[in-house]
Amino acid sequence: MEDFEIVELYWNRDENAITQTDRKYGKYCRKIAYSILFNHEDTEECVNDTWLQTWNTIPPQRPERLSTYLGKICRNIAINLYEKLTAEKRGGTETDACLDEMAEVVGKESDVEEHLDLSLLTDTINAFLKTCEKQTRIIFVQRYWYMIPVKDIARENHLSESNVKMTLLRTREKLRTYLQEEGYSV
Amino acid sequence: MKKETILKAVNDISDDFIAEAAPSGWMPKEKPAFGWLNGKVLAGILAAVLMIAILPVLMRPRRPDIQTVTPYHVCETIREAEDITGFTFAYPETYKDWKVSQISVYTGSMIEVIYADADGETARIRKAEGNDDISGDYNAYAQETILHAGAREITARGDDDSVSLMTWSENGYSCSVSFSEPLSSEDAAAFAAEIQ
Repeated sequence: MEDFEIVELYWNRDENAITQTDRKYGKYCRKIAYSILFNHEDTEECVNDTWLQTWNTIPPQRPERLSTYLGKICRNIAINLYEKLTAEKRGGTETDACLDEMAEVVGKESDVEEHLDLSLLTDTINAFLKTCEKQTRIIFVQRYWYMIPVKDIARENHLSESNVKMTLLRTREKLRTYLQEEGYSV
Repeated sequence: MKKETILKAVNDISDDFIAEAAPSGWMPKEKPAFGWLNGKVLAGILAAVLMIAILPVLMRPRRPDIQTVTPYHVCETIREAEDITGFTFAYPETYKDWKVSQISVYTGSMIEVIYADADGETARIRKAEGNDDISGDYNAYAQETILHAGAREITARGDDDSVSLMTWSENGYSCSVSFSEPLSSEDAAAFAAEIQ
C-alpha cells in the first residue's frame, strides 16, 4: 500500500491503518528500536507505542514522508524507554557507546538541568550536517540516529572500521567547534 | 549541555538526512509514489483536470459542496472499469473465503481489485497498460523467485519461502498481486493463473 493511502486510512480513522503501517514499516521501526534497546520485548513495546502515537497524531498531522515520521516517533520512544530502563544500570549497549561518544562533543557536562530549546539545537545540527560531505553525513546519521555499530557502518559503506571511527571522530570534533561558534556552551 | 540532550536533538534532523542514511534493507524501497505514471496516465490526469475545471461551469450545485478529488474512481462492476480503461480484466471472483470488496480505476488507466475476508483486506490485484511495476509495494523482501503459471513468468517476492508480491508483464500489460498475508508459491501461482 502506498504511503498516501495509509495516511488516508488514519484520517478516515480506519484501524487497518495500523496493520498496513506495521506491514510496510514494522521492520524499519523494529530495527530502529532494537538498535537502541537491544531487547526484543522492549522493542515490541516501543513499536506498539509508536503505532499508538501515530494513530493519535494523524490527524491532524499529514506527514509528507511517512517512513521518517514513524522513525522519529519510534526512536524518541525508544530513547525515553532506554533512559527509564537504565536509569540506574548502564553499560555495554550501542546506545551507551553513542552516548559516550557524544560526551566528547558536549565536553564537561553541567549538573544543572539546562533549559535548551531542542528545536533550535536540531536546526543547528541540521545546518552542520548540510556542510558535511554526503558520505560523512551518512556515517554520522547511521551512528547517531540509527545507532548502528561501527562494524556495520563500515560494511554498509564499504570502508574499514578504522576509517569509520576516524570519520566519526573528526565529525564530532567539527560539530563541537560548530556548536561553540553558534554560541552553545560545550 | 548533557550528552543525552544532543542525542535527543538529533532525533528531529532533516527527513532527507534520515532517509539518505537508512541502512540497506531497513526501509522499503523508495520509489516515486506514482511510479506507474506514463504518458497515457498523464493524459488521463490532464483529461480529469480539464473535466474538473469544466464541471463547475456545466453543473451549478444547489448548495456549495466541499469535495475531495481523488485520483481513483470506485466502480460498481468490472465492466464499468473495463469501459473506462479500454481493456479487459479477468480474475477469480472468490478465493478461499476471500471476496472482491472493491473495484477501482486509477487515473483512468489502471484497474485495481481488492479482496477481503471477514478480517479485512487480503489481497489487491492491479492491471495497467505497459511494462512497469505497478504494485505500489515497496517493501524489501528477502527472496525473489520466478514462478510459472503456464507460459507466464512471474516475479515473486516474499520472505521465508512464501509469496507476498507477484508481478508480471504480458501482451503489453503489467499485472501485480500483493497479499496481506503471504501465500505458498503453489497457491500464489494458482491464483495468478486465473488473472488475465
